Amino acid sequence: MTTGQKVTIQFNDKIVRQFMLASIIWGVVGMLVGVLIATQLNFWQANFGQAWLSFGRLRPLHTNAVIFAFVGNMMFAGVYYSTQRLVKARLASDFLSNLHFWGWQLIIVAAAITLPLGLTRGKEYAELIWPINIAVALIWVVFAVNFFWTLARRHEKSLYVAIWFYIATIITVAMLYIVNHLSIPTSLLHSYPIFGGVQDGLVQWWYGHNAVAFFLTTPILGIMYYFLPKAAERPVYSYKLSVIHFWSLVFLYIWAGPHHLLNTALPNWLQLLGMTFSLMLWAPSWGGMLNGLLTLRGAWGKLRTDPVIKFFVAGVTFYGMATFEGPLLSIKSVNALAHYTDWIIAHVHAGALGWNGFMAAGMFYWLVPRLWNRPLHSTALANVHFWLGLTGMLLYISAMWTSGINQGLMLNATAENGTILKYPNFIETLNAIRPLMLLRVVGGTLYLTGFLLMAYNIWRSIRGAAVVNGTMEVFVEAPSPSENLSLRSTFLSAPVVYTTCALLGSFIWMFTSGWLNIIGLVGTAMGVLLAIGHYETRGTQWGEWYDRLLVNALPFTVLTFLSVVIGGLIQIIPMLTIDRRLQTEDRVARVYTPLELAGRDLYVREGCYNCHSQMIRTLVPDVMRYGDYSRLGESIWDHPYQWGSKRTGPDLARVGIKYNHAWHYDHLENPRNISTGSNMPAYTWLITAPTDYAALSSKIRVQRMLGVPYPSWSPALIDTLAKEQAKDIAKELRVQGRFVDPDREVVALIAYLQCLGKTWEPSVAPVAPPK
Amino acid sequence: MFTRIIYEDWQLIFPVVALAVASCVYLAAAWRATHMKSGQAERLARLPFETQ
Repeated sequence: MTTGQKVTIQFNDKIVRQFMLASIIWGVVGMLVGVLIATQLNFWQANFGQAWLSFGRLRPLHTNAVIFAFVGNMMFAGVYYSTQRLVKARLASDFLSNLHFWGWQLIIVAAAITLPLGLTRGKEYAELIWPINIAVALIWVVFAVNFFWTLARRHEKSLYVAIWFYIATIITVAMLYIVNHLSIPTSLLHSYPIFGGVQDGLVQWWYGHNAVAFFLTTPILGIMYYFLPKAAERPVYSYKLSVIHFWSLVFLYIWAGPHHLLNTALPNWLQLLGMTFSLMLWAPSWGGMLNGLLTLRGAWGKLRTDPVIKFFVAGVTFYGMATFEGPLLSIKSVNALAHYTDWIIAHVHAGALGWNGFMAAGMFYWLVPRLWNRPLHSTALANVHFWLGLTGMLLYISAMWTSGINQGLMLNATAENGTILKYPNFIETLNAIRPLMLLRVVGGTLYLTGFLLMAYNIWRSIRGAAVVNGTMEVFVEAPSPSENLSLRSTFLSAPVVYTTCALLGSFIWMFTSGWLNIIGLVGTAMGVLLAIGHYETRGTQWGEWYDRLLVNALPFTVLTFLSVVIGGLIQIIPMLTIDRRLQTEDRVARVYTPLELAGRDLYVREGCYNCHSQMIRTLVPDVMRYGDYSRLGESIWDHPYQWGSKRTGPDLARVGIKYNHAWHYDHLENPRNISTGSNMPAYTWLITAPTDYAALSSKIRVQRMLGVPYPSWSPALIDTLAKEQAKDIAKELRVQGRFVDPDREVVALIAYLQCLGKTWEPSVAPVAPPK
Repeated sequence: MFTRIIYEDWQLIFPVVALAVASCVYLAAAWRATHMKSGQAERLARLPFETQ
């Protein structure tokens, strides 16, 4: 293209339409599955006795569908629509755009098939099996190439704030996804994660928390910064505030992951970092929320008439509410009450339904008339959608708040001056929250109904309408070499140097003791004071440098990457480099027998971790209810770790020392046989399906590769060991009056459940590894 | 003399009671608001301006 002339570009809006419609379709599927599994918690029969419809298999489908299919597709639509207009360039490649779209839909279809079949990695929001992981990584690279290539071809030099958030999303999600999905396959459909025990837990929640941060938050913030000013027809309230919002948010968010593991066996320094950084997140989150809401200055009147503004305002408000609640829940003492309960479910749904769902609806209602050149079919119907959604959400969230607090109080309650548990039977807490669980179904159904109304409204709007692709006239300018930022100018600039000095000082302050600690504290204070002094006297230099940074996408991306990578490096590297055999506290786990390993894989397949934890926290009520608190050493060989995040049923870390085989058999066959009123599914298919002994040899080989100290057993010996243990269990069951073929899956699962809490031995004094 | 009232199962009851009370307040307020005549709402909304 020659410079110095006007050209008309036509945007690729076809891809935006495709992603938008896909988001609506998958949104219906994801929410429908959500309503179904919420119903199953009230009526266990609602899985119709089908393995593939059981709660443990469908809950991952629900979360994955909502996060990656509904919000993912919505995000891609918003990113592609706004980026083209903000950088004044058509998407770089139609081929890559189409590959991105169809590849992503194929991944979703693959997930929708494999998850109900029980093909899972057993880690929350990271359940998809390894071939799909590779596909996700590849398609994400396609997205990244298409996006950055478009930036390289832009006709607008400066990158608007929305683009910053998209850049942070693309590079951080790639980093998180790749690290947390590192696995070694045992077969075409199964793998073990390379991290185990506490390392796996830490990496998982570094990923899990930041999936919320960088998949569900930063791209939607970018969308907010583009679509909210467009809808309000006025620029963002404070561009300066958006600079502070962006850099502080991307730097702080990544550190907060360990707040998912408070009061567990995770080392305390990590727990405190997670809690502290979560509290610090209050500031940027609320800065962003206020920047969004105040953008409506002088346009609040539109709130009465324009459903787009209505959805955006409610969505941003829910963002503020959820980001207030998150840090609150990260305070260790609050977490002691709330963790593992429905309060957390309320929190995530305030974010997913309120922030993501309403921002999506606002964006869709805004896009439809512009992409199909026809007004929305019915504004009244959109208003009904808003009120149905809002009422449903409030019912859902208030029910889950009440339920969670109820559970927390009851499970922690003691009697007789704190010497005994007041509600020793877990089922008592379940019975207490039944009406609230039913209220959740009502709330969820209302929200889904509103969403269906939107789907109908949009379908009526676009049916038979002519599609429109946006166009723009741009003036092609020659690149100006003076605006380029060299490596030296990027890093040897006042903002970067002062920030680095202050950070180095704070790290020395945080991680050392004695004189070094004081030097670190003084260094931090000096760094901050000098930065303030320099900014006050030479502030224009800072501004000029940032203006130049905004026209240089590569240095901007590098600095963003450094901001997000620091937290992960400091938290994770110490945990990955230590010799895990020395981090056992006073216990060291023995390896699972082949049959126990087969049973463990069944436990993972059925998604038992969705309702049962295996982590007795360092809290008195936990110890009184479940036994001695869990030590690091007890799960060091667990690939994947199974500490869990929710207790719809009791903790199972020491269940192996409580009951006989017949109890477990009866309980798995029909939990109501043992526990009247239980809402756990009946696992009848385990009684008829044969155990896959043939896979064990490959699985144990991979475990050995991962450092699990298995002896070098031959495949024949592994087979024999597994079958002999199965025969022993079946024999014992026969004595107890239960007749089952030793080769059935239920026997393997019983072998695993019976070893929980018994697989450790007292560790000897730590010995340094041989040099 | 005062009699000490002890709710043995307060953990079981209080969260639900709190939800029920809050719901009643919200519902009552919503009912009152939706049944208010438009003239009355208009007059009440303009009360701060009556002294000017």
